[in-house]
Amino acid sequence: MATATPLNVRLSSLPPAVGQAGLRGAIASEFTKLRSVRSTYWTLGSLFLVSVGLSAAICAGTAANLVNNPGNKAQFDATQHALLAFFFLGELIITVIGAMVITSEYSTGMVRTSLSAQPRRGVVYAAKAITLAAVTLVISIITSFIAFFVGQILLSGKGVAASLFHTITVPANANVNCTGGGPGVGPGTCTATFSGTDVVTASAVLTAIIGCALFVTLIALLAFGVGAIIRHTAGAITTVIGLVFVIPIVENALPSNWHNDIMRFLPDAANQVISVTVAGTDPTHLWSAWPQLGVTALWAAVLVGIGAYLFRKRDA
Amino acid sequence: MATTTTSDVRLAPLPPAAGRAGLRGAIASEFTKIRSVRSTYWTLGALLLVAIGIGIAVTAGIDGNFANNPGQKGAFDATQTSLIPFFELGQLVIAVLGAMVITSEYSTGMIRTSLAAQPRRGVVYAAKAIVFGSITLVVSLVTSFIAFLVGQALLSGSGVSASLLHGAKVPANVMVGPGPGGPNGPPAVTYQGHLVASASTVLTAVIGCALFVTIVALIAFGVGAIIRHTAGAICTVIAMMFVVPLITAALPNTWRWDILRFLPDGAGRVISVTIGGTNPHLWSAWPQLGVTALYAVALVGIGAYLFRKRDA
Repeated sequence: MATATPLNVRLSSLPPAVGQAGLRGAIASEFTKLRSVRSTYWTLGSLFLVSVGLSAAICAGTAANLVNNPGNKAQFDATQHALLAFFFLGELIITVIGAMVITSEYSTGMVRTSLSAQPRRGVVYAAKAITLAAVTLVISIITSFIAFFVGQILLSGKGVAASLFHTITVPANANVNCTGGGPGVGPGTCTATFSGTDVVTASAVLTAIIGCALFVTLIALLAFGVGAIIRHTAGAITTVIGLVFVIPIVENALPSNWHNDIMRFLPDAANQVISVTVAGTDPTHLWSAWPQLGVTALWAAVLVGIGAYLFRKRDA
Repeated sequence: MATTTTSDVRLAPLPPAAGRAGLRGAIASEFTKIRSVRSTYWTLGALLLVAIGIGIAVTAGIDGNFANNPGQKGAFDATQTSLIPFFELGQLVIAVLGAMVITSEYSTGMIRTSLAAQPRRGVVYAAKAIVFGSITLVVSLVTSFIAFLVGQALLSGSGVSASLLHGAKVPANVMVGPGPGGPNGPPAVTYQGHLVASASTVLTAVIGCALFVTIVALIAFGVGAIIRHTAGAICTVIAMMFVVPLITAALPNTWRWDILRFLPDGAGRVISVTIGGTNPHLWSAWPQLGVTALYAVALVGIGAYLFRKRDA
């Protein structure tokens, strides 16, 4: 009889398990999940490209237009022009990422593996929220600053570009006189006489840039909370879009005295004030920048909180 | 040795295969798919409830508000007011269903079964578009009419509600001044001139909004066929319909006014108008709806081409 030689097969040696599986491991695991799927790169890449690209298009277009229409320089908010594409499309794109961070676990069935590996659900949920918020915040701040700088470079030379380092002034009123124009000859040459000045301080500009990035991050968390509640990608995305884009449109149908009272309690209102840098052009029916951002933060906190409760209580 | 008895197990008799598998069978198959998943009922139910519910809230609120602010009756468009929640939220909800009709085939892997059963891809694609388009049109028309009728019922006491059967007059201007009781008494309200919402304009608005929502649904279907990913398709359609119009506000007015009429969302804003002049920066209702339809045709066409050419 042949002697069977014991095979010397071993798994590669793992370090012995020590300590308690905690938040640090869960964050590492969530970060791996986030960076190892293509949709993260697609969405964050398109967020950056679309925001900066549209900012360049809008600011270049506006700069060219100011030559023929110098009257538009009155109360011109260069910072808001450069950031507009970022905070509107950023909201939309980040909503998708925020919702999918949690709903994709349910559509792929991954959530069962995740919760077998780390049965303390609160830790998994917190790790997801922390990872999402950190990644979103970094990308948003980078995008916001680059969109701002690209926009200001294209607007420079028009006398209305904003700066992060010193206060600038823009004309408060413009009186436009056109000569040589008429039916069939075109508009003629126009000269603008400016009166009064509005001040754009460097700190207001910095607030706008950072505030828009914070706003986009809060919307990501809001979408995350809705995703945890609904657990279905399409449903969660639709709900968030309804809340931040469509309800404000529908609300315009209400009588203006009601509409004016409701606006400030909606999660999208913050972007209309946080991006304003020209003093005196704030919307009258909203709070100022930080309290209004607080409203958005409150929406995010409540929805993430309800999501956490349901994530712990429901079957996965 | 034991004798093996032949067991008498038979499949339920199927009719023999006859004729060619064609569009009729594909439509039946697509209709089964769409009516046998929960998300169809969720989305269409949400469309109906949200459009009518918010329509009730908006019109009831405005009706209550007229008592204190009669000045707001000037050039008041009762039809548009009752339809806004339908065509704004309807676009959003139907975009989801439109995209999912085709993207869910890819996320579940069903597409391989569908194309094994009916390898003529053009037929499958056409059947999907026909089934989904018909269902959307029916639900949209029902929702639009109910939202309109409920809204007018709530506004009926105010004297400015619209009707499908006869023209309705609303005051063109309203002057609100201090009444005989002085500044603290009830104000004196004088109405000047009138504008007419003809029955046919109202009918155009009610049906046009339903057509608009159906066309947006087909846009979403085309985008879904191109992108083949639920979240990506929904996000793209929402950007086209809701976000790009917001961003154009940053452009200089002279440019923005030239661009507005070429965007797919412009139609919603003219087709629902029954009172007052035309928007100078948009075409009238039907040509503007044609622009939206052109987007739908182009996107559904590109989707069809890619559906036939790419691996599933």
